[in-house]
Amino acid sequence: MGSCCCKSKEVEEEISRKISVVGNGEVGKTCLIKRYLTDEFDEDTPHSYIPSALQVDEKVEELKNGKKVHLFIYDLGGRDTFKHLTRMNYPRSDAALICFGIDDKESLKAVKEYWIPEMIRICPGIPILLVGLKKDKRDETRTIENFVRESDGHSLAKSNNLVGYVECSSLKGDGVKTVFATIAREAAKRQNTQKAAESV
Amino acid sequence: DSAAAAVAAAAAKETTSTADQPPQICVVAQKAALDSTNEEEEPAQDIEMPPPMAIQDHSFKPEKEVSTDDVSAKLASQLSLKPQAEANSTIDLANQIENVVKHQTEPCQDPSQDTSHDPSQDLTDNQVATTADQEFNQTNEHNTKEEEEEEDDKADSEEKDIEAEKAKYLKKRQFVIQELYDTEKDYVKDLASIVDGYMAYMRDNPLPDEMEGKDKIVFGNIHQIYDWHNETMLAELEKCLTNPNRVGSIFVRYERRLYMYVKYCENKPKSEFIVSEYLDTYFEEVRQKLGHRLMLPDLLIKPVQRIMRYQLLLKDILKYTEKAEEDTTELKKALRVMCVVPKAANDMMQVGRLQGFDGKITAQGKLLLQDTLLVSEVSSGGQQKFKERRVFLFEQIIIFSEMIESKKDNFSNPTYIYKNSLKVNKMSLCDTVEGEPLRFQLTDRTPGSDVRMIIQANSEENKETWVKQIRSILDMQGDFLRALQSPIAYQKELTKEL
Repeated sequence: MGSCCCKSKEVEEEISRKISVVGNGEVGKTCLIKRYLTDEFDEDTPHSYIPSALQVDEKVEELKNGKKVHLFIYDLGGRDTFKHLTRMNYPRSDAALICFGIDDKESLKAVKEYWIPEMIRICPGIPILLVGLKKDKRDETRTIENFVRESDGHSLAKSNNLVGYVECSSLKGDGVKTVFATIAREAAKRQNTQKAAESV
Repeated sequence: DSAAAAVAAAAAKETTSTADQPPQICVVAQKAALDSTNEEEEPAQDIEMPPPMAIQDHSFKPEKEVSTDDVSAKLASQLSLKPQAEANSTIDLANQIENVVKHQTEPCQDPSQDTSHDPSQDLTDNQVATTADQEFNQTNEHNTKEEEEEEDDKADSEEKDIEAEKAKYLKKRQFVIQELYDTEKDYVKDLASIVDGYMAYMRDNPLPDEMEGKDKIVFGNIHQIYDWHNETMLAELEKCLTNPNRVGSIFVRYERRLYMYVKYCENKPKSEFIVSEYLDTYFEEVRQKLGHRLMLPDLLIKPVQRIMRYQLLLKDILKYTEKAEEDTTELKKALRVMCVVPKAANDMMQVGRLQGFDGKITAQGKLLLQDTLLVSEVSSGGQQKFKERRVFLFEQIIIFSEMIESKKDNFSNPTYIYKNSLKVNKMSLCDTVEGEPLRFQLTDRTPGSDVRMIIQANSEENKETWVKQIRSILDMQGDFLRALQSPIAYQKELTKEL
């Protein structure tokens, strides 16, 4: 009891955490993860051939206090067609990123109506960070009406007691590190999510 | 002509005389299906395969050279006793019957005609086949759009560039095929960690008393999945590295085999329940002994991830093949298979949560529709109140169940308690209820029963979907019966239409 379930005793200084990344299809979840893992965004070759979804990636994130968090990042598809299969991937998540595209108001609506309730229901109590993707699209243009406003993201995160709201651009790279640093920190705070949930 | 009629009549006679020997028919039907996929025969598995009806996807096969349908397989099985030449005409009859049924039930599902697809159509998870089709069609639409853009570029470029373009796309395709193979290798390794790791350990070491007998549920048919990928699929995909045109045909050829995933997914919720019980105790102990980094649930989820992933990889392979202007016929078929199989797995997971149904759920044919509807039962005792019911429509039965959402349930999915059912072959439909545009009625025609179910849909569209689907399976049954009772008349009617 009390020890982290994902690691064995010999590696005391590094902890493992499972992060689920969800959100509608085509909002850019896979690009976000790729940018974080490789620090590159290539619209053409060779990375664009890697299909989206259902991949588990790993990276060790070092926190400010020197603690190392081994992140297992679950890239979970957005399509509704295989909803029940996708759902089977959620349990035992230590934290989640719920994503939408700031150029896609529908995807924000889906966050509100589907992804947040779904995550909270299946993984109650885990830290969730709301992520607005494709920030660069708003920076590029003046016709702001078509885009989700930053304040909307913040208020949605607040009203659902999420960890917070971060905007980022996988294309340019800004905000990407913040997203994973934040979620790693929040995930590390919680000792053993799933045990707490299971013992309820 | 008269000879053909005589054969048909003989076939009908055969049908009646063998009707009381269903096991025999089953065996033949199974073999016919295997032959048609050209899959080599494999040693008998102790794990039961789903029934033939559940695993066929007729809408996809453009030609019926060898039919695998239950109906035609039954008819064809009678003919295995007859000389070859005679056999053909009756197989033709069977194929025609099948085509009629197909036309009636699936009006526009030719995957090559994706223009007929209406993207504004609402996506709901209760339309089993349609949704998989849409998934498929969306891909095609997407590709067409991209292709058009591509063509604009081409207009002002020279022929040399076209060649270079083609080479570029083929190179990109090669990346995806490499990815397909590499991830397959990893996948087989992960499955081996279960089969040679956990399963071997648990076989060779005594289980804790309270675990006794539960190990089968934990692993389901993963051994079967491992064997096939390890012995067959990995080698097939390796050949694709040097022969990329093979990719599509592999998935088409092994369609039937891939249905083992439906079974795996159906068992998965039960497996998860047991695993979670022993995760921090027994399974943690085994994990440490095996020296694994991943925990058991991380491994057991791999087949679920894999079966969804093929479709994504195939989409990309198809995309680049199209851009390189090479033949995509087999790839389109393959993609279709890899959308239909995970969709079936997805839907059967819900059925896996149905409790209290006495019959064999896998013997009820394909799951056609499921939804939460309002249902009221009417009998001589009067009419009951409308209650919310989860309704499952299979090819052979409609099941009404009560949804129980349990907060304690860690896996957050509702359980369905069986309440009532009507057999399709003893059911009639009335599609209107006066003054109630959203309602329709099903009447139980079983002798001695006076039960009627009044069903209220969520919208007019929703009602339309249900009524249409129910009518089509009732019609199909009628057709099947007529064809069996008087095959000559039936065949004449068919040729008249053609």
